[in-house]
Amino acid sequence: MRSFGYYWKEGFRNIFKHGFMSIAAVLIMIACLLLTGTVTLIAYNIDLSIEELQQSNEIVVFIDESLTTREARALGSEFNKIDNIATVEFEDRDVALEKYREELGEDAVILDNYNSANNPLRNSFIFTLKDPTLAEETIKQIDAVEGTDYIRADEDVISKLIQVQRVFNIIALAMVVGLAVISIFIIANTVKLAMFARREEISIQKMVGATNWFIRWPFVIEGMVLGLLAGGLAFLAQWGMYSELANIASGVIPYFHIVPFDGLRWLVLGIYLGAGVLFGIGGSVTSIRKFMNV
Amino acid sequence: MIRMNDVTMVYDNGTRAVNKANLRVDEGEFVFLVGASGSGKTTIIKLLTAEVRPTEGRVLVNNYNVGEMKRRQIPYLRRTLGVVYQDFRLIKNKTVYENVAFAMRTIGAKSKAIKERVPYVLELVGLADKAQIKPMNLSGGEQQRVAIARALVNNPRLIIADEPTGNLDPARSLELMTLFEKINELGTTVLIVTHEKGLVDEFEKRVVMIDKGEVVSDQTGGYYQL
Ligand SMILES: Nc1ncnc2c1ncn2[C@@H]1O[C@H](COP(=O)(O)OP(=O)(O)O)[C@@H](O)[C@H]1O
Ligand SMILES: [Mg+2]
Repeated sequence: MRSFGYYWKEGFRNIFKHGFMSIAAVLIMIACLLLTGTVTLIAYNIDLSIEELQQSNEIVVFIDESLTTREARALGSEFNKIDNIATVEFEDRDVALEKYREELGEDAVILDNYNSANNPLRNSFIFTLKDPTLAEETIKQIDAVEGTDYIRADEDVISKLIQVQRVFNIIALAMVVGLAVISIFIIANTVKLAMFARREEISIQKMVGATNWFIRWPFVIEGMVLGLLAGGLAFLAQWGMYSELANIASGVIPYFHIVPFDGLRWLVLGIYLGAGVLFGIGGSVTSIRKFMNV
Repeated sequence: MIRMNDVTMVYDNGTRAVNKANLRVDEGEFVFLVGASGSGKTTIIKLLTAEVRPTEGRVLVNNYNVGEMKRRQIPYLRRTLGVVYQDFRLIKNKTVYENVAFAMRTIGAKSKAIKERVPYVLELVGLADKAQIKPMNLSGGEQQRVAIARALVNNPRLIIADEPTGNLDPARSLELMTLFEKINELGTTVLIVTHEKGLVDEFEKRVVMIDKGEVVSDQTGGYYQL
């Protein structure tokens, strides 16, 4: 590639010659990348939250106070019969009281008047599930066991999150497709403008025997540089926006665990630059193909 | 150099622009291609530069078979040709020097080669002192000489000119033809399309006459009838 320097010089000349169009294209692309990226990042966080909740998917069942601790413990065999329950763990109310005392530390004085005779806590079972998606069914089965009093599960949150996840996945997908098309279109138009401005030069180049690739490269580079620029700037903007958006998101959806941006930085940068280059080259190639065959 | 055997060229709309034409031009020749407007002269030039392909017959230019060559070979055929048009086709915002250098850079020439070659061809066409001027500040004759310098810069074996004097006054036209003659004497084959009878008569050259896409006469000595 002897003309490497030439291609870059000409590519940049195209960009600066139509500075306004180039800036507009970059801004529109940044907006597209940010919109898509933000929705995708939210969707990603929802996925993670769901996974996290599902992995620690515990169901706690409190046992009716009319049952003695021994009777309560005996219910374990009933629960073992339920298919979807992976592990069963009994928590003795007296043990629970001692644990609570320890947790409170100095504040444990408030429990000073309580002992095993007047223990305010109840016996409980802690279950983990084999298949969290069947949680609803399992809870019904647990509830049907005589002596269960109150069931606490994160299932409500999970099922809401799954609904939100579905919506977000659809939005994210639609956005990726729609905004990719817009990005490619805007780059294609910018490159088309540059090609049109240089149509005389191009026809002379063809006349004196330039190869098609020699003619194309500057325009491919133009599209690529615009795409890279948009990708890089969108990344910086995303970085700045992320924590703000995280706050909003966690306000809207409770139990939401937001991944810190630091952990995503290189991935986001890579994807933004990659998308920028891809759309940039895609756009210029679209234009070049139309233009060169005329 | 050029071999056209029973060449027919029919445009998409059915116009038969070239009809069973035969033409042979050898190394070092100077040939006028003459004929009335619409007789098919430009189409023959387009066949030689592979802008269009023959519908029938065989076109050989500098050992490239225009009818059968692959698209990606076309640039390499064109590098063996220098083409000059009536409307000069210069780049307005480039200087004379840049216009000529552009043709070299376009085929991947090294900067060093460009720096040596461009002043040489500008000298040859008599524009050494106008190198840094933009085309709009030149006369028509000078602009056409820039176009000739550009056609020459890649050292083609064959120069083809389609009505190069069409926009020039008679005195400039004569100067320009004299320049082509000089280029021919330096060893480049020259094919010039024109319908300026007076001009052709000034030079004792081979004259090929086209009418309705057919070669109707081919003789040396200038005079021809429209
Ligand atoms: N692109 C084209 N499509 C259809 N017909 C064309 C085209 N170019 C030229 N022709 C026709 O072909 C014939 C020869 O044209 P041309 O080669 O330009 O003649 P000349 O250069 O001798 O004036 C004319 O009848 C012209 O109208
Ligand atoms: Mg013509």
